[in-house]
Amino acid sequence: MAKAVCPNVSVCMCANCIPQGGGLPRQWQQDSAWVRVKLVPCSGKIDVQYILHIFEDGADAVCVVACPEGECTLAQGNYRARVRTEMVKKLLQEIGMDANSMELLHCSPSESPEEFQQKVREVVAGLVSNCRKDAE
Amino acid sequence: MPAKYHIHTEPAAPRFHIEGKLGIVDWREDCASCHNCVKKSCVYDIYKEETTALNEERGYLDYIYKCKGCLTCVQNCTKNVLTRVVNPEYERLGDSYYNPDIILTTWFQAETGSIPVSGCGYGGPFSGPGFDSMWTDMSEIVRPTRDGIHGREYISTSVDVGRKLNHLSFKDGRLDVDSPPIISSPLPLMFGELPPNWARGSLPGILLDVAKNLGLLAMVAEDDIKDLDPSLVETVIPILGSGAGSEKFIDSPMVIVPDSADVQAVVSAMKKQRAERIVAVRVAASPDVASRVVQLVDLGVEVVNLVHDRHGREDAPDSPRHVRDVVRDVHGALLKAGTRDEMTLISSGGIALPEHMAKAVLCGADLIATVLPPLVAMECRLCGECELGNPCPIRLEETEIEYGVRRVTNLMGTWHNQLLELMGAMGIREARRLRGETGRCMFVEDLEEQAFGRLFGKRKTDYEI
Repeated sequence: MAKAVCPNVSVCMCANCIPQGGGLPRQWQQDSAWVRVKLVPCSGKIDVQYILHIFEDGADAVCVVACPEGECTLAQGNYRARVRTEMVKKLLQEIGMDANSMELLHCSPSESPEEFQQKVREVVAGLVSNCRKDAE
Repeated sequence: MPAKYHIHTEPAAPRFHIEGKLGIVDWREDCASCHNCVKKSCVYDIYKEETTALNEERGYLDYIYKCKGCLTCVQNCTKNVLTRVVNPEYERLGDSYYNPDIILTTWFQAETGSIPVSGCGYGGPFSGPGFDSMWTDMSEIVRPTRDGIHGREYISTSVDVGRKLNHLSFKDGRLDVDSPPIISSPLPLMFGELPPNWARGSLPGILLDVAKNLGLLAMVAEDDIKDLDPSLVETVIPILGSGAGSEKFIDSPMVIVPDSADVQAVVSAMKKQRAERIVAVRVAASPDVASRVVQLVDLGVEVVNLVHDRHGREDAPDSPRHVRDVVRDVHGALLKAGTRDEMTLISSGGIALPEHMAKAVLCGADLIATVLPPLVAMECRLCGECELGNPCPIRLEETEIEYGVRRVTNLMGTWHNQLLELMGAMGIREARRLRGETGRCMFVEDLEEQAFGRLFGKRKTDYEI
């Protein structure tokens, strides 16, 4: 299998937490980092191995966007996502990488599209600046 | 009897994981590690495949959605840790016209070179917009050994491009008229002009190679033709910006010029340069296009290229018609004028599936020009990122020529086979006779009129196109 182009920051976004009519573009450039959004059917689809594959390919950071706790369509997806992102952070730390290059963000579909986009972009900006700091 | 036209297909596995429709969400933390795990008994081995991919593949890996939706694992898991979900990336494939189902079926055809057979019946709606609101009469389907792909009898899918004489005259027992130039295409299909954002990297070369190998024609914008390989002269149909500079393409079998007020002068000037060269006129589909096409044919134009947008709509501010209705309108007007058989009508735009090709021909086009399906065959997701100036997520422009040629050839092979099956089932043995054969198909508005017209009168709302 050929490899898809790996972005600098990969955003795994639960499709259920996107406000009506207010999704983000598939990819964009932010602070000279390439950001790509991958929709998942539920944040519970996030898997430790897949996230590690993203880092393995050279991504600087991964952001997981989940519904607020207690509002998951599949009941426990965001809870599972929290457990798994913590696991990834622990593993990253163990291998000497920065645990802060992985972030879990909760967004609600009841937010306004602008608010939603701003929240994601802010977290991505934080991840990018953190990576820059590490690089220095 | 000439040899049957056949397109040789060869499997071409996709370069990237396919965006499948269904997947499984797994609360693996609750797994009881049963010895008889339902994942082991998946008849499609999707869990095994995913584990293999995770272990063997390196780097960025998309989630794999290969679930067939049988729900066996979901129902039988003793801890209820599995849930079947629909992949949102699948739902984002393509657009409203090139929907995810069309993209997926095109990928399947490009990969296998086989006709897609679902095997579980048709679960879709009775009727839909565009070509989905017409049906072909398959009453001759009872003769599979005689017709179709494996049939003993010959079904010709070739069509002619150019002016045809409406009668022959003889003098002293010899033909007394010069027959006008004609090009034969083995399929009622040609490759349309690539939109600017797709005319990049290896893509134009792949399409030209396929067209050359299969004997098809390919429209190419004048500006995109730099150093034309002599072996492609018979394949490439240049689309000129105006009549000027046509000497450059003096050897081309056909050129296309835009419609204009002085189009007759342009065409005759080009005919003077080389009479054997066919000159087609490109006309944008619009509400009054039928009268314009009749006028053009009266002026001596031999081929008209009717251009619709990507979704097969005409250029109209309100309620644009679909290619189905525009082509029927133009065909009808030409029949009324008595000039239909003298010209060739090429319809561009809105052809996403092989049945669209057959249906456009049934509506009255001689052949169609298709653009996006060959690109989808090369795994394009129609995500539109290239139109925004962003890099292609799958680096489509870096598609290897040999691989791309194989995928597009497979697609063309399945389109040819599906046309054969359709014509066999309709009892029509020649694509030329399929043209305008509306007596062998049904339209939703006619059926509605027959069934409900007497009760409810005329339909009060427009059809969705």
